[in-house]
Amino acid sequence: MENTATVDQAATAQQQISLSVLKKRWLKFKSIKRGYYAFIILITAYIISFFLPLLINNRALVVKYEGDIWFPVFQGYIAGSTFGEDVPGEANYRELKEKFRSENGNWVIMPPYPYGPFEDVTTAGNKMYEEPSGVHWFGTDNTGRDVFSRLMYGFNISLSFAILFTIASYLIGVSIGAMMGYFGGKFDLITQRFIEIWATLPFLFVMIIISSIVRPNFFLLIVILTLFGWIGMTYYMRAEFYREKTKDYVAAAISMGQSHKKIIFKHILPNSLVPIITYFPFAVIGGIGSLVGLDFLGFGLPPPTPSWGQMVSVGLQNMVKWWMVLAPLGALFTTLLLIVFIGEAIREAFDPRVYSRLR
Amino acid sequence: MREKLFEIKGLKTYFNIGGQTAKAVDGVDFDIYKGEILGVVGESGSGKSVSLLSLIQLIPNPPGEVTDGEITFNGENIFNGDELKRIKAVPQYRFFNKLDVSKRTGIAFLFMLAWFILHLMLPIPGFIPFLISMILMTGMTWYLFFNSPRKRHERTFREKMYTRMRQIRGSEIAMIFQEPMTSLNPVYTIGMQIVEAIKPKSFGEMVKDRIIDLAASFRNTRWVNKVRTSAIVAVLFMFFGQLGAGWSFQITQLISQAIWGAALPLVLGYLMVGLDKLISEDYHEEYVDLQRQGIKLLDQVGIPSPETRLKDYPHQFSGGMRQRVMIAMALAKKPSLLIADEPTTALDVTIQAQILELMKDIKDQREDAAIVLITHDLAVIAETCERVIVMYGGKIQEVAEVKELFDNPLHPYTKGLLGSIPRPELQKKARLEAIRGMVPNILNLPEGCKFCTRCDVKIDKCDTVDPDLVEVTPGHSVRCHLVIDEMVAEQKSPVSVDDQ
Amino acid sequence: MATYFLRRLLLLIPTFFGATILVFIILQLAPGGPLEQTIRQIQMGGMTQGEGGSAGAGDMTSGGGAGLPAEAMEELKRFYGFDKPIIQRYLIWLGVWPREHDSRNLEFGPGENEVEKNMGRGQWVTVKKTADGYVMYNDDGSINSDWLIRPLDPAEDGAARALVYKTKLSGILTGDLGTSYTYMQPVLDVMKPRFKISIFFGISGFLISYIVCIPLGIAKALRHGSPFDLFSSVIVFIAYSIPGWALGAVLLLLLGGGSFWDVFPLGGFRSENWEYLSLWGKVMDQLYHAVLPMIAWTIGSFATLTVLMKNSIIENMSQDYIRTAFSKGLTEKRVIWIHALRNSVIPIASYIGNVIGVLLAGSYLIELVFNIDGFGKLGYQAVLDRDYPIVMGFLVIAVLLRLIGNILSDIALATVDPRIRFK
Ligand SMILES: Nc1ncnc2c1ncn2[C@@H]1O[C@H](COP(=O)(O)OP(=O)(O)OP(=O)(O)O)[C@@H](O)[C@H]1O
Ligand code: SF4
Ligand SMILES: [Mg+2]
Repeated sequence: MENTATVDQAATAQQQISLSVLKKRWLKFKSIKRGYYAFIILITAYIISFFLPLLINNRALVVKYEGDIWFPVFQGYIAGSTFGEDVPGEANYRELKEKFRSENGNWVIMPPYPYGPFEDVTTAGNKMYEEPSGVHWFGTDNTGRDVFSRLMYGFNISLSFAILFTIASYLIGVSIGAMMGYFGGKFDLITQRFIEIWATLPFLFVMIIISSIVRPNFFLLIVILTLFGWIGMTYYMRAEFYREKTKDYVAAAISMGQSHKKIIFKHILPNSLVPIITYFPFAVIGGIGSLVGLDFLGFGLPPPTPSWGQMVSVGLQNMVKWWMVLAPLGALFTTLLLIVFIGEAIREAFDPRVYSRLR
Repeated sequence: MREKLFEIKGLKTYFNIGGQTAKAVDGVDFDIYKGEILGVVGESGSGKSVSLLSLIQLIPNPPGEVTDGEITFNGENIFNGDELKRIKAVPQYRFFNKLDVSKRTGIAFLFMLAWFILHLMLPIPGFIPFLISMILMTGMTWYLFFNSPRKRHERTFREKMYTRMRQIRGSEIAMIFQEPMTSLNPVYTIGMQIVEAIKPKSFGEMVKDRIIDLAASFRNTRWVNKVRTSAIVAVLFMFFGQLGAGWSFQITQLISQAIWGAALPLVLGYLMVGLDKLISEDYHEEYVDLQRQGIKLLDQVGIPSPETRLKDYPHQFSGGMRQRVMIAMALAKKPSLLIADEPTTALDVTIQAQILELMKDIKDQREDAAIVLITHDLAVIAETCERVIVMYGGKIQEVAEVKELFDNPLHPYTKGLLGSIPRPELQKKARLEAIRGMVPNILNLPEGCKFCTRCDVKIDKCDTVDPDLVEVTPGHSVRCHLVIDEMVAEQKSPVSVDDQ
Repeated sequence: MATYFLRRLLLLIPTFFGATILVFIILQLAPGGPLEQTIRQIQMGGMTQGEGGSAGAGDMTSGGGAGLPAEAMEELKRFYGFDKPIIQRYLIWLGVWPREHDSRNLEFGPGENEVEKNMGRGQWVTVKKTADGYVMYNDDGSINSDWLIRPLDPAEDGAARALVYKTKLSGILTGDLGTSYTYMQPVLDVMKPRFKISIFFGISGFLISYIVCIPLGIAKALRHGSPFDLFSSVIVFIAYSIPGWALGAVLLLLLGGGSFWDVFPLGGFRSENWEYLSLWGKVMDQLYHAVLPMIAWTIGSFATLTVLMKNSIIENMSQDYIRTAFSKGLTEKRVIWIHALRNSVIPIASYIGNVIGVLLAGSYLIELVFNIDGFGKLGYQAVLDRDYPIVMGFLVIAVLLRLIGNILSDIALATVDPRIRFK
């Protein structure tokens, strides 16, 4: 028992070392301004994007009507007739606001950008193919939905999707890669063969086939993408574990009779963080790219989910309405560029390349 | 006194490590005499390798640079730090010299962006004006942010220095490195790398060599083997041909595929032989001659069956053999100075002695050739060298003849080093007197004597004042306050070597 | 080295079978395949014609066949190959199990044991039902053994039914990818013209990206940290952040004459009147159409390759053997171009196969954006149409390309790196 304790201490010492190393890396990352600012911008934008319903929405934040106070943003669907409006279905809060302006005691507080991602031509006051203007910043699309609002919601969806996808593929890829490197032997050999087969399949095409059969939703799409996404990580982890396995502290832990699980996750994994961390942003880029590509082909998230790929594909059918193509692609490009900056900075911080030149 | 081969004065080599300056070599003066064997000792990181590499400007730049000093070779000045300093006085950029590179680029980018946006807002339509504006923008950005008046001077200076250096490297000064495992190029044969040391071949000549090799190996292949190769290729051709044709198995098709396949290796072989014939007789002779020289060199360093090993790749050699190859390359042009940077550290003991002997062979070839031997091992120094330099913290701490140094070490660091050699005759003293403490980080060396963090006999001013290197007796110099103070007490005026 | 390659080659075989089996299973077991789609189409057709599905409502067979008579169902199943167990189907598809073709139905009247049938080309035969199977006789009474006969499920009224057919070994191993459902042509014939287009883009894209990226990478490495390096890095970053098809869409929008400048055509591989152009006109027309797609095609590998090359050179320039080379007194040019470069192309060489696989078969998106009738678009359309022979054919070729790419990588790698050659 005592021995186990010492090995554990050794493990914690190892971890502390790697933690302080992590801290150093973080400082180094912070010193790379381009990546650090990109990181701050992206994180801020992502956090804000969770509060989008409060900022960009066609539902009012607060409505005061005949002495009652309503919170349509949180309450959801409220029929127009509730507010004495003569519209079928849901209340149109923008018109309501205009109407209430002349009425005493009744008022509406709209979000700063009062257009939602789902309203369409059937909603009164919306028009198809409006050019960008002060009202509709990026214009409206073929069904009269506001492009800017859809973009912003799409940002949250794309990024969440890519992050969840990356985490899911990491969970599988890291575990399998770790086991391959750690156990080696037959298991390694068989899994390698399997991975080779899996990697030979044209990934996007098989994705299309599967999606055309099952019509995925958000989570199902993550699962399907993960089916292929985990492979990339196994190569790194396998190599990493293969190398770490031969080191003394692992031999010590094995001789102490610790369980494989403990050795893998407590002892070796903390020392193999570098590829995990440096690969992450690029995996996220891959995730966003795949999602947008699938959406573009029409095999991604089901409509009317605001997705960039689907917006581009609609836009391309109508080349004259340039904003419908440029806006989503611009958003895609900006997001990916930010992540590339972050990824470059992380790679630089974790795996600094010395440039030395003899003459 | 023997003739000076090299004279080094005030040599400074600094490295830029993550924005900080590491003074790896900080004012080193020494001479190398013709025909001597000079030893350099010191702990890891004391700047031994860097000093000697600076001698032939093999310092990676960036991150390092030989910033100051003067190097004279056979009376010819080959590096002049003063000139470099004059050049450095010229401002690096035409404008905004305070900005560092990353800020500079950032601002330049913003400038271009601003220009671009401005252009879009101003009503200048058309593609040609747009193009002109863009070219103008690029030019302006370059001139404002990146034009460097210093650069031209710096480039001419370096070009001149490096051109002369390259003539000296290899033919006058050869070097053997610390790491035999990685010091040979893994993708070229030993033969190519040795011959290159004798006469570098152009790309065209390398192609010719390859043709000669292939033609020779085709000629030397027995007919049985040629036929067998043809047969294998023919079968492969038929297989893939049929695969492509959907397994038609038409006889005519099969036969034509077989003929094509069988002919291919033979045609290629005869093509090589034909090309070989086109290469001039003189070139063939030169080729054979160089090859013979290579074999002789390998033989000289004791590699068995050198004719066949010439065609092998480095990974097929052991560490000791690779180091022998390195020595063979170093001896190729009979240089006047051989610098051996810990040639034996990575090798096992039995090979060490052989390697050292091999190095001394250079003396057989050239009487006045000098050897500089960098090592951790004082025993090796005692055995092989005539004079010793002791380095610590990027500075020379003590210089003396071997006998003098071992009999009368003056610097506390030297004493410490000598104390840490296991000596059988001092059985009573069971414990080795290792120097206490660790080598300080190169990035924050103490301000005073570099050794003061570990010195047992230091005095107050050691922490703040760096002592000069002074000549105590002829040929024996030391850098230590204690010694200087003693000399002053004895009414001798210490002469600083640094100030000469 | 020979054994090394032999081993790699042999390993291809299980990989190929593994990959095809996987896809075959996914395709065949998944719902919503061609069978279901056809049934749905027939039903919908029936509805619109107002006949309703009532006619055969009673005799529904398995699951999705609502509204179709059992015999039609059976016929359809046989057409799509769903009448056999999946393993057998896979073997047939491979071409190692006989494939039935030229099949005809026989229907024996109630109580009849004999039926006459026209087998085409005016050949009449008589099939007799005996206790132990069916026998076919020619006109002249001799036994005909060209055809095989197997019983089918009896008809509703109890009449015996049988199938006469011929067999042959015909599958991918014999070079037969089947017949497309939508084009009604052999899959290979459908693919060939489209594959040519993809090869045109793939190979020229491959060449362009290597010709541009390798010198650019070297130049960037040698001028690391200089304004040139920093600015070209910006371009590389941008190229990395925008997927090829997205860049294609932007270019198309800006230069394709929709809302902005009209510089390049809106898509397609060639002009409609290409056949009638002069030779020079043909070349120019081709280039004119190819510029934008080509940019989109190469942009992906552009960023990766340039960075790969640059990092590789930088890494090799700090190796010990470079110092050795300089210590021999070699010129900088020689050290870079002969010593560093040869080592730096090692990672690039192993990337070759990857590029080929991706360029040739991974371009659905770009082909869709530019409306080029290439290989990728064919595959995409086939999935939409549930044209499984084309889908499978596409997969086979994609997998093969990738495997060939791997081998190419190995060869390239062994050419530049002797350490692999002598393993
Ligand atoms: N390429 C380089 N980049 C950065 N710093 C360097 C480089 N080469 C040497 N240095 C620094 O210069 C100092 C002296 O190094 P040097 O190689 O001369 O030591 P040494 O005395 O040869 O040690 P060893 O006995 O281990 O070879 C070291 O502290 C090292 O940090
Ligand atoms: S100068 Fe001082 S610290 Fe340095 S060695 Fe001499 S006594 Fe020690
Ligand atoms: Mg050294």
